[in-house]
Amino acid sequence: MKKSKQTRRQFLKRSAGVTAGIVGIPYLVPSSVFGRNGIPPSDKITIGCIGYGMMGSGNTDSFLNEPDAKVVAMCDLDDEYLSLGKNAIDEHYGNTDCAAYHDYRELFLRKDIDVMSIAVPDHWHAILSIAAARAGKDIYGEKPLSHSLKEGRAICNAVKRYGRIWQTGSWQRSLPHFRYACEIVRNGRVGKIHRVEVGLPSGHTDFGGTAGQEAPMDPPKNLDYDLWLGPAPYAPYAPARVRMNWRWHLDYAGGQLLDWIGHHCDIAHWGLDLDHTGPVEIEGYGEYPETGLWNTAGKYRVDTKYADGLHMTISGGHRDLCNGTMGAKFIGDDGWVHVNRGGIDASNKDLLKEKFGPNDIHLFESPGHHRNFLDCVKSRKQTLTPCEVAHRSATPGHLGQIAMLLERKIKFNPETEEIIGDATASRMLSRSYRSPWHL
Amino acid sequence: MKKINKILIVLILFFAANGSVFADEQDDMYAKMDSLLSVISVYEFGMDRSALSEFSAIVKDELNRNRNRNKFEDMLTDFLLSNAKLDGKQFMCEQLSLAASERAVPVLLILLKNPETSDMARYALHRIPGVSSDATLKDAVEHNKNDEIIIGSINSLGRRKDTNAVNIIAEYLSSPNQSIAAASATSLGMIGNEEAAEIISEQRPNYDGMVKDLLTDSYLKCADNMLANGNKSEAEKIYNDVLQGEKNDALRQAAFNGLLESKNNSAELIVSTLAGDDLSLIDIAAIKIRILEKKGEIVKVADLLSVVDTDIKIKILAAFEDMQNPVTHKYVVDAVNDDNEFVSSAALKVLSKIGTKDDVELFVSIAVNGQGISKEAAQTNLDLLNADGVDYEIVRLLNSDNDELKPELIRTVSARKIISAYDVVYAAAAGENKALKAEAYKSLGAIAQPEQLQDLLTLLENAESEGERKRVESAIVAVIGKIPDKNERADQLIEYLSKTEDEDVMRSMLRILSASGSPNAYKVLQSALNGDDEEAQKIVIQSLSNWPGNEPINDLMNFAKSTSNDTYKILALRTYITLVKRSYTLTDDEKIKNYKEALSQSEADNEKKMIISGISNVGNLESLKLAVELLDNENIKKEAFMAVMQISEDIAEDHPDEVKNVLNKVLEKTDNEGARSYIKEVLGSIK
Repeated sequence: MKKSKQTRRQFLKRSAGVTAGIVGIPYLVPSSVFGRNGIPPSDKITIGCIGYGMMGSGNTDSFLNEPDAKVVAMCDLDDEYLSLGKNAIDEHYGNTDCAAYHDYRELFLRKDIDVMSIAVPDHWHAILSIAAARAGKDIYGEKPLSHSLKEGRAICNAVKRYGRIWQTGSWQRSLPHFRYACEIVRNGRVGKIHRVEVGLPSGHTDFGGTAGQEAPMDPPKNLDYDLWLGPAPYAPYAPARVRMNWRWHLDYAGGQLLDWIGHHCDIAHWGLDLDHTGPVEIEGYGEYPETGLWNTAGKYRVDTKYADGLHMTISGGHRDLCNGTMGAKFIGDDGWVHVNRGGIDASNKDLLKEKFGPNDIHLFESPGHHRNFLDCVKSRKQTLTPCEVAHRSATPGHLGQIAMLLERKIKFNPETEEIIGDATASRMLSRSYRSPWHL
Repeated sequence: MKKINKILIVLILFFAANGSVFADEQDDMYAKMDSLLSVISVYEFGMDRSALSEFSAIVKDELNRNRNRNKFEDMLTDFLLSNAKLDGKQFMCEQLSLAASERAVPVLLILLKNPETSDMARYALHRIPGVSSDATLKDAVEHNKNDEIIIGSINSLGRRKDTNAVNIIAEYLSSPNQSIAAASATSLGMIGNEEAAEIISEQRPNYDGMVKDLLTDSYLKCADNMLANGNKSEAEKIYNDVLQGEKNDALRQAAFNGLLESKNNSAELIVSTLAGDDLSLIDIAAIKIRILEKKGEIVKVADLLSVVDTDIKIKILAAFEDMQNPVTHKYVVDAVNDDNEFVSSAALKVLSKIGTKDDVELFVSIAVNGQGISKEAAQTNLDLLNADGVDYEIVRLLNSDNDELKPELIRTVSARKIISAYDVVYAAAAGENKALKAEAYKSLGAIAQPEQLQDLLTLLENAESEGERKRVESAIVAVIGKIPDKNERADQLIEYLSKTEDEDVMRSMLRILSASGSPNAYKVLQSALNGDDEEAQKIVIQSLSNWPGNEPINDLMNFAKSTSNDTYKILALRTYITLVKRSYTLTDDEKIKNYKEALSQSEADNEKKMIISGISNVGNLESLKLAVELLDNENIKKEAFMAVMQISEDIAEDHPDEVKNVLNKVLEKTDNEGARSYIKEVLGSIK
């Protein structure tokens, strides 16, 4: 079977077409309530973008292409990215109006900005998101929602307290075939689901092209390295530590598991209507590198059990699961359905042709992920992936990481969000911050 | 008695022996730790961290044992007091964050008070439960002059929710160092108890700027906690206090949000806000419409739809969509007729959830006569309208004389799968009105049942154009798909095929059989493929690309090998490659064997490129070897190179040496700079 590991390059290459064995289905993207046929009656939504590396550039592009949005500011503590971002925005609008900020705190002082688009390393998610909510901004934030479970709850509380609209970058929910797969499951077409296999990538992809550059050195002048470290423990600059490869260090992120948990586990939760709960038992085993700077698990497997007895396996590098590839495979009494970015497949191919009627469950048909967010900024309706949903999607990842690091089964109460009867595991639900950082 | 003595002796001997084994094992562990600690004591970032990994593994093992850990813990804290380098000490604090008890706290206090080690001490203290950690952090706040230590310790006290620290923390609100004041203001909110609220209430008026904003945020957190604990009146006081006295819009919004949550009757406030001119609060009021439950309250909001601006109408309708309360029906119908298409389409969405059969005509008329997004919304939401009698009403309208509405009605019959509309839809398909016929063909696939197959075959016979024929074919394919038994799906069609003499119909039947997946149908197709009707062969070859299994693979290869028609050979190879590539049941080895066979028959570059695309999706050493071999062909070199790289990345983790070897050889032969740098990048990432 084909291996599940997939690099960014491959993703870009494959996402344009159909992966072997998965049937691509034609679909129509519905128009937005506001966007496609004209600009709504109110003013444009003003946006400030924070972070231009990794997902930041894509999100900025998406907002630039929405007719009722105006990107007015770019913020990055890496001057190279800052310059790239500002130039892209200015080029799009044909002017030099985009304001450039090195420090997010200055950006948040601007009263004329409605929305913050935040795409930064995970260890910064909570501080920035909470500060943005406190500044009265609606937020488009990247997944995973947070770097620890308690941070995730703190973000949700802040967003709720300030009445903000939040969309998470779990954009697979906006693709019709993911929705369709979830509708198949929700409408019972493969019977009662007793097991879900969530396939994620494995290994450590050298996104930044800096693999092996681990010797401490002075940071480049374009990077405010101390600010980049922010709340994370001190460590000297090394190229392999920053610029997209931060994903592979536990001080800043959670490896492939947490990078992708907000995609395929998010879909698994959507299909099973588990958006407001979490697992009750979690076991895991991960292969963590014993040398080198990167220390996140390359190959891993997390087995979870939910209150109703459902088993969910989340794995990377296990070819015996999830048809040997990525995605979410729902296995029920009457068959299975498997969905990933390449398409959708099912044990019964006829299922893939089904159109659901008015008596069936219909999940929200997104006009596009960024579009849905902007619509909700105007209507004040919940987005397709609000904060709470993102928090719950990431929860099995956070708990899986703890179970893997401790190599023992943990029990969890999804209501109180506490680990039961394991004081050591409970300690790992949050982490201390370097001074002077706080939420 | 003797027997009991014997048992006791055995037990004593057992425990003595094993106790000694356990003690030996523990001594071994301490010895191993000692040896690792001496390595870690000189550790600095950038050095080999395998000793750290080994030490972490020991800590993890120890955490999974239930035994006295005093000596173990002491070894870790002793290390902190040693002359070890700071990077090693930071590592040890991370270990202590999991392994330490209050026993470790006195040592951590020493580190906490040292600016160089303060942060790392807190990594451990933050996680160690108990009052000793709290006391240590308070000590550091009170008896220290280093700002960073004070800030960090205040933050930690806040995050630990140390209720005994409120007064100490509050003293630092007035610090001239804004970072200390900010930490103090924030931590009071993290603790968030009534004592913190009281202090904030007293102190807030004394501050402005950032510290005041953070204090107010903390004040609101205290109120949220009060509300959660059932102390509504106190919470409400705070929300009102902030709402009335605050100028910062975000804080006012949060206060208003809390106030609406806390009040028993928020309706008046929501309505007056939505109708008012305080723009910063309207968004919050719009979100909170959803908490209204009483009919009269909801009607008051609904009444606003006739007076407020478009933006607010959309917010109200979004709330109504979530609430799905029939009370709003009349108002939503009015909003459907709003001049603004955004309002109209938002209202149609709501109506799909609360509408009745009496709304069908409204949906249909907008779907037919509307414009832009209203038209689209009417179509989409008519399909979703879920109320008693809706299907009946659609069929009734279909049987009426209003021809203008019928195409839309037939479309929705299909989307809603209204089986009872079959007769009228079939009549439209067999009728003369071309616009209706096209919709009706599509609809028949959705609503016709297997027992109506003969009707569809009649339509097929009577089809007047290739386009019509293809549409009926699609309908028949959809209908036979409803028969669970695959052979049963095809048998009626095979019988029909044996009787018909109409060549167009025969071709249609071959195409339909190809989509059936039936073993009996495959025998017919196989026979056509091996027969002498070239037109039939062509149809079968092309149609088999939709075949849902591996059966045609060998037959297609045999055909490609034996045919003298070059065009047909290419078509057969393409279908062959498509099926191999798509197959879930072929093993990787079988796929590679099939691709090799296809390569041996392919002459054109296009087919070779298709094969390469298939090869690249098989991640094993054999596929890598095959892709490398294809690099020698100039015309397909680019595709082969991408396949080599894709496979290499896929399998590098499991076969690092083999992949390195292959890529180094490719590198030697490659001149292209872009390709060389790509290879080097992948080589560099292989561990």
